[in-house]
Amino acid sequence: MSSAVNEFHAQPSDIDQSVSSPERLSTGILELDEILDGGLIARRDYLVRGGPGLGKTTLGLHFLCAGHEGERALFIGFQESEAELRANAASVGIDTSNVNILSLAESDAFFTEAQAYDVFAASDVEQAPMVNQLVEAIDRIRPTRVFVDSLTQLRFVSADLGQFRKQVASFLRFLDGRGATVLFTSESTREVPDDDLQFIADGVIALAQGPSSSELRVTKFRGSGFQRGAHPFRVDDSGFHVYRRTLPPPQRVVETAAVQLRSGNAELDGMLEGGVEAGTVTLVTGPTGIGKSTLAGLFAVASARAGRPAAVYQFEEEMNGWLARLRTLGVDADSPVREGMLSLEQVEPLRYLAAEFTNNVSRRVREEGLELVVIDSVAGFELALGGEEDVKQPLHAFIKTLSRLGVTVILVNENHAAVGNLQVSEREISYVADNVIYLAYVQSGDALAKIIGIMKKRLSGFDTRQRAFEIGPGGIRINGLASELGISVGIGNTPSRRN
Amino acid sequence: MSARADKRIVIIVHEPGNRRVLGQAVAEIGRTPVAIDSEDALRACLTDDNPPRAALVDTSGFGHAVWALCGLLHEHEIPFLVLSTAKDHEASHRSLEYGAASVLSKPVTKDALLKLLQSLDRRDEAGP
Repeated sequence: MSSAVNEFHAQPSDIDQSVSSPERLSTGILELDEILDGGLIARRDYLVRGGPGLGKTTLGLHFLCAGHEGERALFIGFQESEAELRANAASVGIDTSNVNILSLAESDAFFTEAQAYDVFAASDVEQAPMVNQLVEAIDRIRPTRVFVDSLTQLRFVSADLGQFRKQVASFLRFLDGRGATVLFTSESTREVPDDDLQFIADGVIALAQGPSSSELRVTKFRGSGFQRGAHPFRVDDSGFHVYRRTLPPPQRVVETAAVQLRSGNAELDGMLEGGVEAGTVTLVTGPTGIGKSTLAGLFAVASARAGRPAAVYQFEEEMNGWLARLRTLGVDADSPVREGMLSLEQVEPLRYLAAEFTNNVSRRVREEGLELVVIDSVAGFELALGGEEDVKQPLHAFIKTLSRLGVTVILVNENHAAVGNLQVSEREISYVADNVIYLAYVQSGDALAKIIGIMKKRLSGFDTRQRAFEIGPGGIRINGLASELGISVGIGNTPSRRN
Repeated sequence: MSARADKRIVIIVHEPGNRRVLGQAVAEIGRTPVAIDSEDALRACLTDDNPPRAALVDTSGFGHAVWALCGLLHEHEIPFLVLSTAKDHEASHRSLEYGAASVLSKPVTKDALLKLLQSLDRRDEAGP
């Protein structure tokens, strides 16, 4: 195998394990290698298709530059000069100094010296010299990696469609016979579709514009399993980045007693019969300004202090403001931050694609051993990462993934319950939660009182009684049973259907 | 082979791109293309010690002047082929009137054109 490929995400259900292990070549894009079950099978031919400007050429450049020392790479281009190709590659951070480039593009003299012709078909005039150039370059360079951009250009120097197909099949066999693995692009239009190239290719990587981001799909890969579905990607000044669709790993049966993570607040931990179990998902839900973020912060700080690395992803509130508030409440989040046990990230809107964010967090779990993750909040996650994209599915898959990796997840959710009412979530998110801690406002004389309760806890019993609480020293101060104070809260008028 | 013994084919073509590809095609069958774009140049070529074996004439771009050139070729008994656009029926008729061996609609198949050109080159068939 040409590159180390992370097999973390391998899913038995997705990957055909019956195939023996052929030699694989890295595409130069780690996550694409993972989608391809380890990379491209060597000495085969792959079509990269998609509309203009989506990143086909950039993907091909990554492939050419991913070879080991001694591997030879050849770019065969039909539309741009060598200088233009190298400059374009540099603009996306790709160094092509080890890539041979054969540009078959017409020079400007074709236009300025009126070199257009109509006495012969292009196939009569250009095919033979082009083939000679190709054969000469391939025999001279002996590349193991070839990128042809685009093979559709051969269509214009072929007498007819039948000749074109024969020409392509013969050209690819010629390259395969010389030990090359070939990536080629197509230019598909309604008038001239590229279906024939899809049939000829051993694999097809399709790029398309999705509802809110560009998406990559592998639609064909002879002799190999691959992960189906749309994977978001972006091309920027550091190249082509694909964010593999998150799939939860298989669930493991845990025989040992569940570890509990505490909030550090004795009364709340008492209500939870010790805390929340490691690897569970806890929804902290309540209306605005009631103390959800503070409560979630208590779990993060307590986890970090207990030697379990935690991370808080703040989508709404400014991180400095959140930290300052904890300070005024006497909750020391600064020490675990300094000690590297608690990390905080302000997630700016539009900075990440949803899959990009979730993959980053999953990577940190693997590499840094995060044990508790706070997402503050669900609405912020949707707004910052979703745009027009439906993020419910990636959010749910993300949460399940973390949970099955043994990570404890605290989800902060704002609801719009009226005073005196109880509502879990309008977002149909509560069914993924193992535990639900609800906060609610209730009228108490001339003032609003706050109530906290546990609605659900899958892995242990819990105190079902509501309690009054205040935000104060230590984060929250739980005062006593709500019933003794003559206050309570009930299910409101708009409960989620799946709650 | 000396330059004087070259088997020359006159190419009377206005468009540079067509002139280039026809010249290359003629060279592929061992003939020497001679590009001509005026009546004087054609007269000089025809009265040379090594007159051309045949000619290719593309009617595009010359206007009516092309018929004088065809007339000269006919007068000197140089066999010639005319290339014209498919819809130019008048050019086809006039080409035959001026003695063209054949009129071909563009684009033509290169192999077919070259075979036709060789068949016109009777002196070539007769041997050196």
